[in-house]
Amino acid sequence: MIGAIDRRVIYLLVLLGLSIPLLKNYSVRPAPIAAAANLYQLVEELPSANGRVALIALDYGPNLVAENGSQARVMIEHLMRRRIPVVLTALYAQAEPYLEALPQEIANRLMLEFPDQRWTYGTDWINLGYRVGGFQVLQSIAKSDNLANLLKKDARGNPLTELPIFSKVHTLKDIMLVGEFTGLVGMLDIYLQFLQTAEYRPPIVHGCTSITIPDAYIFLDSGQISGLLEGIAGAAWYSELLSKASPARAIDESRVLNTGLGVAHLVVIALMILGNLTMLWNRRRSE
Amino acid sequence: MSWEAATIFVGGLGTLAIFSFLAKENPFYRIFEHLYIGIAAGFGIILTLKSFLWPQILQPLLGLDIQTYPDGTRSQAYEPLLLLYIVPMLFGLLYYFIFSARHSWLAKLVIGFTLGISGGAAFKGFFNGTFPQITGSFKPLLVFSEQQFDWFSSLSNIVFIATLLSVMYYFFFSFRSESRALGKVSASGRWLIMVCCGAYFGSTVMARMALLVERLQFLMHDWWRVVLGMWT
Amino acid sequence: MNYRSRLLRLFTFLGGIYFFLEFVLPESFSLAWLGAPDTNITFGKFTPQISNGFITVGAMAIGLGLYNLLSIHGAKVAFRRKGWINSVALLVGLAAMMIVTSRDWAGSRQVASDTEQLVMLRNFTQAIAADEESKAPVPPVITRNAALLSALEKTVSEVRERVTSQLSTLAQDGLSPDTPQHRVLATANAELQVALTSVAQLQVALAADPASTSRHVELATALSQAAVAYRQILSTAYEQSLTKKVYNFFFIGIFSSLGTAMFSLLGFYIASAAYRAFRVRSTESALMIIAALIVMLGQIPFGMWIWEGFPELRLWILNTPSAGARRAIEIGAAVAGLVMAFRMWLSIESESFSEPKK
Repeated sequence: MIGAIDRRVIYLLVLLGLSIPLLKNYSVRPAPIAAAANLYQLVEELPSANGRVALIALDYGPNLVAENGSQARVMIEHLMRRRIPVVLTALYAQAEPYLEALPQEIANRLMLEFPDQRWTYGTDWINLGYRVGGFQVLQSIAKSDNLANLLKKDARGNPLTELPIFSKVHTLKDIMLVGEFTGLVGMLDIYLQFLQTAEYRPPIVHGCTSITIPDAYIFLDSGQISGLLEGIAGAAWYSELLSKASPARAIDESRVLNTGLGVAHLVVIALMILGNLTMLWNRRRSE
Repeated sequence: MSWEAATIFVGGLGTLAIFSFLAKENPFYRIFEHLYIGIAAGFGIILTLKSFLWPQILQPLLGLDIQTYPDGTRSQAYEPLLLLYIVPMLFGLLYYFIFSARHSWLAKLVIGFTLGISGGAAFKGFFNGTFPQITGSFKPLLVFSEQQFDWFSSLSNIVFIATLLSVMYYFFFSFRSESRALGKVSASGRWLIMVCCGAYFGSTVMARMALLVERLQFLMHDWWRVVLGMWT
Repeated sequence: MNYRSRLLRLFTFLGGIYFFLEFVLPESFSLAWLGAPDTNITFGKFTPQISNGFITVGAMAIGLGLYNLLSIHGAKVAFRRKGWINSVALLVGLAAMMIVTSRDWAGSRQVASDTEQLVMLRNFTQAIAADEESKAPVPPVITRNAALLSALEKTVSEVRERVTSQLSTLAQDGLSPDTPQHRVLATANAELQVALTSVAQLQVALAADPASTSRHVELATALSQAAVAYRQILSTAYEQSLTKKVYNFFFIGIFSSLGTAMFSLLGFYIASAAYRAFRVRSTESALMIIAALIVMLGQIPFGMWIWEGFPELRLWILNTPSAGARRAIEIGAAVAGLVMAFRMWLSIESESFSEPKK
């Protein structure tokens, strides 16, 4: 009988299997993800903002940042390239520092790519910060006829009435797109359920962690979400499309991560096959 | 060492401490685990004050958002209705009676109230969230596109509806039938759930490995660069 | 049923009644049927304020976790119980993060409040013109303009000093001219100087004609532009400050890294589970493995090297059988959830809250 391999040996195999491509910075073209391509097209075809904004919700913490962070990065970058003002918020406390750091990082990268252009806080993006209250916040946003009065200040303490981005934003109808990036169970549901009125429902796009991909597809199928980014694979394909449209764009790490992820999958598949072969071998021997 | 380098260095140290758990539980891992819990708790408390209690409640309640002009006049009059916020504040303080053996029932009032909020909101949630799922399930069994019969889409829709109905039937424990035909429907529902579970497993592998790949990437590139910088 | 149970049921019901009525009632309805023909009720009109009240109730619980942590871990440290070193780490992390987050909050509030001075002067300028036009009972225009001029002189001088000091600190800290932050600062500073020059010119004009409000619109616009540029400079400078760097050290360096590392352990465990547990023992497990393999190969670049159709097949599995099964589960769970919510709201599911039977 072949005994089971010690779990620490398996851990070592995983570590070795992943280390080699990562050390060599090995990267291959990601697999095409249809949902990411459709979402790219949707954002590309958005009309000019004309005072309206895109509301991006980063509802993830350190445990989900690898996937949701990559997705949010490419989506916000695309919106910024299209000069669609972005309003960032979160209903999850642990996302708060990412709300501040992520758009600034993207703006800096864009300004390096386009030295004659600027992306500034207050005009191209603002951070509303973490909002306490869950579905009640979304319900209030939907019902409000004066969002600046409702939300009062941004995360830095600036009154929203003083920020150029909010000068024409009054009601839910002035939100042209909602992007929800989360892997938390039930979080997307509350956006779908409460961020709407009888007259208007903003198009909602979703960046999900890979675990919730099968869940997200039922909402994509019913039309409740208009676009979907599936884990790092979705972010990598979206990044590929952005690079294709902007050849001068700096390569981001999603391609290398995606390749490493591909190797990780092969390791797991190999272990699955090995486990079943072990079982078959032991069964034959005992027969 | 700059703050940025120190941030990366301590991040790598923490990562290695957590990874040491794979070999064996050890004090190094335990200390960092407790540090993580402490930081998460401290962060959350201040954030609630910063994001909500101060700007939305206390500042307007105390009139601190009213500007006083250089000539002594004010930007707006104080709104007396804001004093009503004292009521939920006092009601919320009942939470702390949970620490009293004799008066803990007062804390149950607040907990019950909070659960009642979720209960009342569930109706809207159901009708806005689940109804489109139900209506979206009525797919055409025969699909025509550009005047031609679309075999693939028609077959896909048939499989979708068959899956939906057989899985729903499988979960209808209350109405178990002895009929062989319905037994096969239940069995097919179970098989299709397995296909769904397989899809979940495949997706879960990507989710779990994504974090691991990101951490290894961080250790091998960002952290290692900082460590080399310290030694050279 | 004693009075406590009744009270509990009443409060549970009150918690949910607003959102229930807000959903079932029309947006606006008339009370004509009650004999008040000119009265319209817009039920959801006060949703933001009522929601704020409800959220406040929950937010008051922030001290519960803090008290629990302090009492449990404080006792461990005080009495040197087993694992007290870990409790020290927890309490140190708690205190440090509270201090650091508070400092960051104070820092960003300071930036907002400094900018608020210019905004206040702009609002005052607008108020003087508006009150003059509407003949509001306020001090005379000459007095108000004098106060405005005096405040402008003080504030503009403070703004210039502060900006000079911030820019020189950043230059000393080594902010390179090649960086985007430097470009943003330079542009914002140029815009600020232009706006302050306009303000200075308008100050002179106002001093020459203190009873006039004809230039107040221009002055308000210039102050607005100055406020936007000043905010840009102070915010950008704050991002480079020590307070921010320390905050990032704690959150990104420690908290985010530890959190990601903890969850990344699951990558090892799933590999171990794939070897030990994922065995083909029946038709069901075979179906599960086949679906898992197709999905996995369809989402990685190497799958296409084996067969180009894997991504399409993966998409079909996710869109068709998987979505069908998931939707069935979702609908069933949602109906059950609604029933449970209803029972909880009406306190039919109240065993956990009722007094233990004696």
